[in-house]
Amino acid sequence: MGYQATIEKQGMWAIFDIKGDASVAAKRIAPLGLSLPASTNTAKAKDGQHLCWIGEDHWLLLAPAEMENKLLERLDLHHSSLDCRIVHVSDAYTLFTVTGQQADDILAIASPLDTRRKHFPDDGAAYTEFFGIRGLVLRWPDGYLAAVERSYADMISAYFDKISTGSR
Amino acid sequence: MTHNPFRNETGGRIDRNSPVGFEFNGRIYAGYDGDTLASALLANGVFLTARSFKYHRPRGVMGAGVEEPSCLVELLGADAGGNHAATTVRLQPGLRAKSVNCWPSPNFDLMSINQLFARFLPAGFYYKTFMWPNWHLFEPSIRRAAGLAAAPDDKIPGQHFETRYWYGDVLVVGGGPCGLLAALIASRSGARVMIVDDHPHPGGYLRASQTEIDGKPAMEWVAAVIAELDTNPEVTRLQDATAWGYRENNLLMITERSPAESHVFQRGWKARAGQVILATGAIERNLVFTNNDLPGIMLASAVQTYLHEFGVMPGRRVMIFANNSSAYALAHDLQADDLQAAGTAIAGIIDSRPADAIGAEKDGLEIPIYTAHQVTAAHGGKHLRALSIRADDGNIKRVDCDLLAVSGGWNPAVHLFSQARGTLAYDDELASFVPDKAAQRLACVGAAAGQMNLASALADTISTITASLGEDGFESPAFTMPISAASPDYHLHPLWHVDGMKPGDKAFVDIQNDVTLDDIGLAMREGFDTVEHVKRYTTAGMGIDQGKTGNVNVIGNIAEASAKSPGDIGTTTFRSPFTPVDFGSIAGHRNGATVLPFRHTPITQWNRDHGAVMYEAGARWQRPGYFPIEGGDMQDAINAEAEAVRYGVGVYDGSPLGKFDISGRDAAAFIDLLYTNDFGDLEIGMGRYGIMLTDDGMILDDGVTFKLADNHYLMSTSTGFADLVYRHMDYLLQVECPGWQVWITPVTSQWCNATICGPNARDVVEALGTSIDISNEAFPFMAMRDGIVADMPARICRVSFTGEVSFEINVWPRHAEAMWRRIMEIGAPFGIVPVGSETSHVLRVEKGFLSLGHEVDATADPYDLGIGWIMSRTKTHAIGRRSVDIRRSSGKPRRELVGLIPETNGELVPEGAPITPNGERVASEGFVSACVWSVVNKQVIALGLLTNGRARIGETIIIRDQERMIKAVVTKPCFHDPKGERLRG
Repeated sequence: MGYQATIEKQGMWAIFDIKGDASVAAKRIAPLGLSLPASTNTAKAKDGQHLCWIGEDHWLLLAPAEMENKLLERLDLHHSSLDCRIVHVSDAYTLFTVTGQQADDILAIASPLDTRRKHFPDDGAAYTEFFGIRGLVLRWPDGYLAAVERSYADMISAYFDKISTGSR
Repeated sequence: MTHNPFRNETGGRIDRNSPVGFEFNGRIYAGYDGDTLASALLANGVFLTARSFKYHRPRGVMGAGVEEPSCLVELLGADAGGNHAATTVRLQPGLRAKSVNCWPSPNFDLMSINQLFARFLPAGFYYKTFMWPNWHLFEPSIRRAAGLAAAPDDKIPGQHFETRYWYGDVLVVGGGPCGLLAALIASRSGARVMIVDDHPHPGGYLRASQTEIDGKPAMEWVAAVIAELDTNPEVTRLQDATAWGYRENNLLMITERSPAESHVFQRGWKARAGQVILATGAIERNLVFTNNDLPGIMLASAVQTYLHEFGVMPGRRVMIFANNSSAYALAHDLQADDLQAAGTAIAGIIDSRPADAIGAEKDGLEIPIYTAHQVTAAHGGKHLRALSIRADDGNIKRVDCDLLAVSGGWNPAVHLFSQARGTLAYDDELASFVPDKAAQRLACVGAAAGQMNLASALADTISTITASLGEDGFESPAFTMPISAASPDYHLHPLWHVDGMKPGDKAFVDIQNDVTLDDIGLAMREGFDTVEHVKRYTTAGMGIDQGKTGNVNVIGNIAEASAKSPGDIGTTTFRSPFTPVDFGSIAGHRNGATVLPFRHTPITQWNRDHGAVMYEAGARWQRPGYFPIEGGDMQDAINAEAEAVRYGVGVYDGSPLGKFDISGRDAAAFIDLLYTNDFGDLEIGMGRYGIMLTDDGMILDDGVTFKLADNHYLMSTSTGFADLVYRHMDYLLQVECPGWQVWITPVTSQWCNATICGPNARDVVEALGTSIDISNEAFPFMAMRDGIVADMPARICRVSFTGEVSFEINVWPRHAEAMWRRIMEIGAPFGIVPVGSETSHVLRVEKGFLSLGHEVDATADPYDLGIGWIMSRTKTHAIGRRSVDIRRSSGKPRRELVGLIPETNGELVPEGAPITPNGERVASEGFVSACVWSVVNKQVIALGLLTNGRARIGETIIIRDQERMIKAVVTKPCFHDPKGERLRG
């Protein structure tokens, strides 16, 4: 029954929503050792941090929870610059990993994202939808990392349970 | 060995070592694994399987696949489901089925009495009858009589539906020779390929033919191709799957009925390909003559299928009636020695074509061929017994037979092509419609493209697929052209109906919906003479089979009657689904608890644990409606909560309120644009209530926006309209103000809030322990402060939706549950109670606060609602301002917000109940927008919109509740603390 894949709800991550002029944004994140991704819908990774280019003048930074305080300090959310706004949104998302031999099948059920390598490369990061709800997808070792709005987490979990267990 | 009197000793692809028992109309029969229900019934000699839709005429199996028009069954038990063509139901152990549209059985159907009244039941009779005295008198009976099978009552255990997406380079629809060849070539070129075939086994028409490819039986070639496709990881092969819909940008909807995964009952695919190859074949059509619907009359191709696929010979004395060459293949098959030895006799071929039109197809046949003859009528009661055939000179003779194989020609299956917005052209040689110009990246091959000769169809397939692969940069792979055995050319003379029929003869053009040739004539005489009108007037083509065997005959007969070409008549619109699909395969996992999206807050589980009655209260959020109390009903619970808030303290979860972080160089100007009131003088750390209007001056949303810093705001919106407001703001920045620098970040789920409200609210917050000075002097109404509450970082906002002192304790969701529990613990000595949405509604009605969807109903502007003060007199550029002014400049009376005190002895008045002058049944002058029991007034109160309401304070008006008239006194729309002293305290 079900698919040969593991779907795991993750604990908290440190997440920041970055909007603004690219050059200003680049300076703001430089202290993290990160640079902006060169291509749209891709992510740059360093030291566990993942900076995803998800829209025009729009990035999402994901990092392990233990880095949150350091990031809150370094990103200076009360910076006076009006050309770039960084908003703390760690609690607004719930993350899931989908890994295993049939992770692609799970994604094909959950999301309309075209995960062929030529369209979603190894550093792919895109906003798509899961079961009709907007969400972020990154390539992950042996599968994918998905982030959905926290309020829908129980619904997404219920869907993932149905797929993986074959229950109704 | 299973006793099947019409099963040949040998032949067919059924597994004779696996007998399968099944039940049909309460009787037990046996077939074999590999049978369909139809083939098993025929093998058992069950020919009368159904009654027709309107006339309840005896009907039997006519086709062998999805084209079947007659034999619909309802499945019972574990497979319960209605209106399946018996030709598509795979025989499985324990299958239980029954005929539809007959009672008690097809053999003895009480409703066959309709045949006596047939002349009174032509097409469209219901437009002319059942009128007097009133249609509604007849409606219940007609509804009971209408329809076919019943929908299943219960969820079938084990039925698990799934939907998924697929993307690739080439999608081939059709698993016949051309589809297989296209998929093979595409797969060898390195393309990602999907091939979809609606039959349980691949091969298409080759399964029913004796043709050879590369010198061997064609099915061996099929097996070799399948073996190669199945070893290619870039090939997805779906068997027993129907591509039923063609959407935009090469998106195809597919239902897979037998997925490999055992836990999946059916799978719905949304497949998108760079190139689509439609190898959907062709569908044989019927011929139109009197009583052409009798059991024992079948499509010639169907007889071949039953013979070769299932080893069934559904008749002993066979005649063939055709207007084309293809049916002769059946005649050759029936000449086989073993069939004749088994007692099958082919009595002859009735060919409507003249002798000189008949070519090599007749070579080798040793049976009578009646050229230039037509079947004028079939004879028999519940089964075919004889035919009347007419020669060119008009002589009619009678021929006995129990099986008539008919072939009126072949229609390319252009359904998907047409759904893809491709245009069709009429082909005179085929007397059918073929694909003309494609509107998307697709190509038709084989019979679907009108190629009726296998060799030329294969050659055409190769050139088509290699060309399209080349366009996409794929190399042409190595392959060997399959060589098919030579076959006679396809040749046809159109015959839309036989000659010499009389009015009243039951000659069917649409078998499933009982549409006769007479009905076509009637429709045209009554002015419904276009193909779309004929369809709707007669219902031809509107059945479950969608007229697969009859539509082109309908068109041909319209053309003949109007002296036009069928090409000039055209086709009706091809709509999906191509064949019926289960709703489950479309819905996939959207069932049960996930049938609709739902959202939770961190307090949802606590609410459930404490017995809250939960339901959706805006934007998919599950919220507590109320918390039941022991010994009390819903109203008691609401009253208790409301009294707590008014006289003590309550707390509610306000987390779902929409919240947006807005900043940027033009943020202040943007806020000013959005709201009707002035935000320019708002101080940092303060908030202001604002109204947003749409372009046409109607209220879009209301909420409080706080100023966090210069050009930095935190906007709150209503729960239900948060998404709409976000889209509105996004639209403005993209379209109306593209040069503005404004950054909007939704933070609805980044902040949760527990709103402590009531006279004792401040005491509870102090008891929680906070670093914030919450005195009224230091922390006035509409202020916001950041600090620590209950040892957790928090942001407190002093807003009030209840009319009492309120402190919104905002924390990150990671702290929300802990904060909530702490509030309940600390608040216990103060008698704190959790408050649900029902109580919130009561409290806001007592205050006369607005609610979107109640008073804010897209007809009332701020002036109507008594908040004209919110329309800045100095700021005229806010969205919607101009529209409000224009609308009001007409001076016409407006509906205005008022309070109402209904005389109901405590009974609530339904929201939406109209207010009419003197209670008369005339146009309303207003309506009740909200009605509640007021705990502070100890009576029922209401809000409403009333024409010139503010000028009618003190007047008694009449509310209509169905036929009941309720008097109500008009008051000001505030029933508690009109000066707002409590919430500012």
